[in-house]
Amino acid sequence: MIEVNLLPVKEEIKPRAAQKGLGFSIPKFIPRGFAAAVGVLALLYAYSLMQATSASRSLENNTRTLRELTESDQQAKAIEARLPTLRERAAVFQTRLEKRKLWSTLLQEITLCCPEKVQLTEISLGVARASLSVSQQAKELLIKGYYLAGEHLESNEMTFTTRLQNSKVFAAEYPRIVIASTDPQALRTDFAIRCSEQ
Amino acid sequence: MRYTKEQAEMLALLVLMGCAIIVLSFLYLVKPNFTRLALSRKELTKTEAAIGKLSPAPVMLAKAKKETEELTATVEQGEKAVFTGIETGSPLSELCVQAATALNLKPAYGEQSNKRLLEFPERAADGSQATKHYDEVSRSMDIRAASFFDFCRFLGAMEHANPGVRVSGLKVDSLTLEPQSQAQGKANANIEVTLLGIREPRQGGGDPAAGGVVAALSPDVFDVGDKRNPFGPPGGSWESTKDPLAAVREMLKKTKVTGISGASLLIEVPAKSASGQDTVRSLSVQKGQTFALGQAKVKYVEEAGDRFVFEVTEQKVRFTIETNYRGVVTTLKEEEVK
Repeated sequence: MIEVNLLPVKEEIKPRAAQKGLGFSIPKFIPRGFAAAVGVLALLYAYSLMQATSASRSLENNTRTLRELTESDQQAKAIEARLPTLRERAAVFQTRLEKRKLWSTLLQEITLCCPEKVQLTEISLGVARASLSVSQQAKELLIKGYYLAGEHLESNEMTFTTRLQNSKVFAAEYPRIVIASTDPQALRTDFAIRCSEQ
Repeated sequence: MRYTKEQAEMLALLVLMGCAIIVLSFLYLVKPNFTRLALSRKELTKTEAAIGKLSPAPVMLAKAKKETEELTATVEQGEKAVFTGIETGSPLSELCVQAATALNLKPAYGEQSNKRLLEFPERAADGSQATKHYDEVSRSMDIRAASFFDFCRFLGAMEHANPGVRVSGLKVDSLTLEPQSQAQGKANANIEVTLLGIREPRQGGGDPAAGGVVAALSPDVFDVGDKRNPFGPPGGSWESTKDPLAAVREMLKKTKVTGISGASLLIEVPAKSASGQDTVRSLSVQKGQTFALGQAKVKYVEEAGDRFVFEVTEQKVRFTIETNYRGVVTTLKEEEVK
C-alpha cells in the first residue's frame, strides 16, 4: 500500500521545525522589535556617554581655569599686599622729585615777565589762606612791587599778571594768578600779585 | 498563525523576559554615564560660579603687575637719584657751601633739621631683611645784600646739583623801598632748602648720587639774557646773565687762520660792519699779545702745528683751536687756566 501526503510541502515542514524548539513559531515582528529596541537603546547609551564625556571635559577645563584663576588671584593678592608700601615709597619721590618746583626757573620767568617800569620789593612763598586746615597745605606766591606815578599811567601790574599767566612754565606751577592789591600813592603805585596752586 | 493559549502565554513571557533583559542591561550600562553626567553638571555649576567670582583676577593681576612695575621704576629711579647715608654728615651743608663759594655769597646758615618721612622693611639680595628710611634734611639760610641774579643762580646751582634738593621756603626782600634806589638789584633773601635722601649708605659703596654743584653753575641754570634785574631801579642799570664766554666761543669757531709769519699769526675773525652786516676782520697778532674779540680780551698764547692756543684773561679760560689745511677751525677745546 502506498502512503500519499496531500498537504502542501511548507505547511508540512514548519510544524516539524517548530516542534524541535518551542513547539511553535515566533512571529517575525518580535525579533525585529527587539532589534529596533536594542538599536534605540544603544543610541541612547551612546548619547548619554557622549554627554557624560562632554560634561567631564567641560569640568576638566573649568577646573583648570579655576586653578589658573585661583593662582592669579593669589598672586594679585600677594602683589597687592606689597603695593601700599611701594605706593608710599613712590609717592615720596613723585611729590618731592617729579613735582618739585624749580625756583631758579620760576624766578627766571618772573624776571622775564616783569615790565621794565616795575621794581619788585618782595617775593615770598607762604601757605595759602584757603588751605590752612588741609593737611597737604598748598603754598602761594606773593609778588610785591611798585612803579612810579606820573608818566606811567598804564597798569603795569595788569601787564605783569598777563605775562605771568601767558608764561607756560609759570602758569603750569601757579594756574591762578590774580592782582591782590593796587595802592596808588602820590609818587608811586604799589601792587601785589598773588599766585596760587589751586 | 494561530496559537494555543499555552503557546501565547509562553510567547508573551518570552517577550517580557527579553524586554526586561534589554532594559536592565541598558540601565546597567547607562547608569554610570548618567551618574557621571549629573556629578559633572553639579561640579560645573559650582566651578562656573567660582570662575565667575574669580574672573576679574587676571585683570587685577595685570593691573597690580603694571602698577608694581611703574611704582618700582619710580622708586628705583628716585633712589638712584637721591643721596644716601644722609643721617650723618648730610651732604646738604656741603652743597650749600660749594654753591655759595662758587658765587661768592656769604649766607648765614640756620640750624639743620631732620624729618623722618618713611620707614619700611626691605629684603636685601642675600635674603636678609633690614629697615630702610627715607629722610629729609632742611636748612634755612639768610643771604644779605646779594644781587637777585646771584641769588637765583645759587638756587639754580642747588637745584641742579641733585634732584633731591628743593626750595621749601623763600622770601626775597628789596634792600630798600625807596624809589630809584642805588641798591642796583640787590636783595635780602631768606630761604629754606630741603634735601631728600636715604639714611642707609649705598650698598657696595660708590658715589652716593652726588651732583657737581660747581659744574651745575652753567649759564643754562639761570639765563635771562639782557633782561633788567627786577629788583633794580626801573630803567636803571642792566645786569647781563649771558655767558661771557659764549660769544668768544662762537667767534673762535668762525675764526680762520690765514697764515703764520714768524711769531705773528694772521687770522680772520668775524665782525659786524657799521651797517650791521656780518663781515670778517683780518688781524695779525703776536705771541703774548692781547686783542679784542667781541667784548672779550683774548691773548694769543702759542701755536703747535695746526693747534693754536688763546686765553681769555678775565675769565681765566684757555681755548685751543685745531685747524685743517685751509685754516678753518675744526675743533675747539676749552680748559680752565690753573
